[in-house]
Amino acid sequence: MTSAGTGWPPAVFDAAGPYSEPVTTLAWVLLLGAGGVLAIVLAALWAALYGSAALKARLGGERSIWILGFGFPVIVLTGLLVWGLILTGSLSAARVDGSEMRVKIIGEMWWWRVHYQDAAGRETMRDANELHIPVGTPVLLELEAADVIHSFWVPRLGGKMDMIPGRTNRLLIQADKPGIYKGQCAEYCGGPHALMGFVVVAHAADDFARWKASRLPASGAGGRGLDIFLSSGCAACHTIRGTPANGLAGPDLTHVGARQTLGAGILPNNPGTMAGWIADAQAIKPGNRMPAYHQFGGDELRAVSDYLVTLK
Amino acid sequence: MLAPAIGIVGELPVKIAGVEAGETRALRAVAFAVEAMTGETGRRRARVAAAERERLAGGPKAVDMGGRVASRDGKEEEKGSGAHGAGTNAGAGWFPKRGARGSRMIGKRGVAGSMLLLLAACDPAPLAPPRADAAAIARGKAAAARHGCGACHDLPGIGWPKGTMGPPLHGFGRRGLIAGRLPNDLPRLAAFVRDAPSAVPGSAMPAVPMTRREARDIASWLQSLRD
Repeated sequence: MTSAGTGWPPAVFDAAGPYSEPVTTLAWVLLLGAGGVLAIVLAALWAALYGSAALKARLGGERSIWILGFGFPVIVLTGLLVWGLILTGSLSAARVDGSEMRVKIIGEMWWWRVHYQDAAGRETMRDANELHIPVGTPVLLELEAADVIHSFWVPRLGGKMDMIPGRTNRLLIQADKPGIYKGQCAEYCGGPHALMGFVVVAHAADDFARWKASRLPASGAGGRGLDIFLSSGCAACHTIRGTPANGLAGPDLTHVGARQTLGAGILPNNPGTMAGWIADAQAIKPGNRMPAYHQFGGDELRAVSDYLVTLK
Repeated sequence: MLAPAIGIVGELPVKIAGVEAGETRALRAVAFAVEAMTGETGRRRARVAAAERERLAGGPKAVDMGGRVASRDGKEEEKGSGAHGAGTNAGAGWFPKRGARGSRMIGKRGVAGSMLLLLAACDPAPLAPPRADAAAIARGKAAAARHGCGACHDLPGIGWPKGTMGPPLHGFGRRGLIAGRLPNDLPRLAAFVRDAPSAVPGSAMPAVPMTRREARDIASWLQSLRD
């Protein structure tokens, strides 16, 4: 569950939208171009070692050095630079026209805050570690960081963009088909950096409307699970809208049961992994900010985890 | 009757070389394959075992195994005796280093010999319980990874996560009880995997949504874990 880079083809060669296709094209051209240059260098090396005296003389001549050693790299690299800039120009978030869906994502050690916004940039809903989008619609992401530099990367949907404290970087992504697209923090940000995953769920248009309509606050009737949640300090860090839990340090749990993953894109989400995460998140994601809750007895732990997975 | 078994053994070195990292497990799997293919295992193993015991006891008589494993190499016998004494888990020491004596043939003979030693070593112990088919075991392992059982359990062959909330499950197939309460048989283990609190009230392990078949596959996999 952890990585965007597992499976075949590698995500970077498997574009799923208009903002990743140029990246895939660029990746192929660079890979094949580098292979071609390597072949030329190896051929020259072979000629220098085993070629005839005449070939060696020609290879070592001033003319060859000017052409192969100077002209060739200048032309190839300049061409690549110009072509690459033109190709990736279409990715620029400067070209937005206001029709995009807007979401602010804030990287933290080692998870992601997700703030959905309306067209005017006002916050409409909070979530964490997961982004739901409609297919075929560009999504403008405003990327920020709360502590250190992170990097937002969902390879199949768009380019990679650093999240830098004190700055807002903008990135466009789009999915052309419904599905689940994995992402990964792509800038080393401390201990469990490799376990800082992300999930984008792309819905068909009506599914997306249904999903949006389902985002209601919790009913507040959580029974024993909610009581234990509130009396054990969980609410100091976590918010569950519709209940007194309003902590801000950790991920919003209002819809935690509906998430694809737990622990920021790393564990499947079911009552078992939920209990394991609550009881000892440190064993699963060493160094993360959530302490291990060893004080729960078996039935208390199950009451809390069974409650949380019902928060759809 | 012995010849087919030896024929199988003769083909082993390549397979064993292919799974060098897990020698102990490889030896086991091979031993069962031989057993399954030869059918009348009891009698045949007894004969092989009897022949090997004589050889291990240092008798001067060469054991004729179709001319393939008539090893009288002193060094290898010493190794073999050690392994025999240590039981079936001392796999690593049984393999003469390839080329250690400059000959591939010796390597082969050594491996073939160790197979027989394995059979001999198994003899006094009861047979391992019958195992579920390999496909169910593989499906069970995949299901355990998919459901994130590692969030609480250290599971062999699953690198991450290795949770500490529940017990590590290495060698679970040799464990007598489930959660210290229930006999470790397949139906009860499958039921426990799927709905632990019903099987053992008070358990911290929640009911994990999965199909009965997934639970049975996971149980089969857990019971196949011997070390």
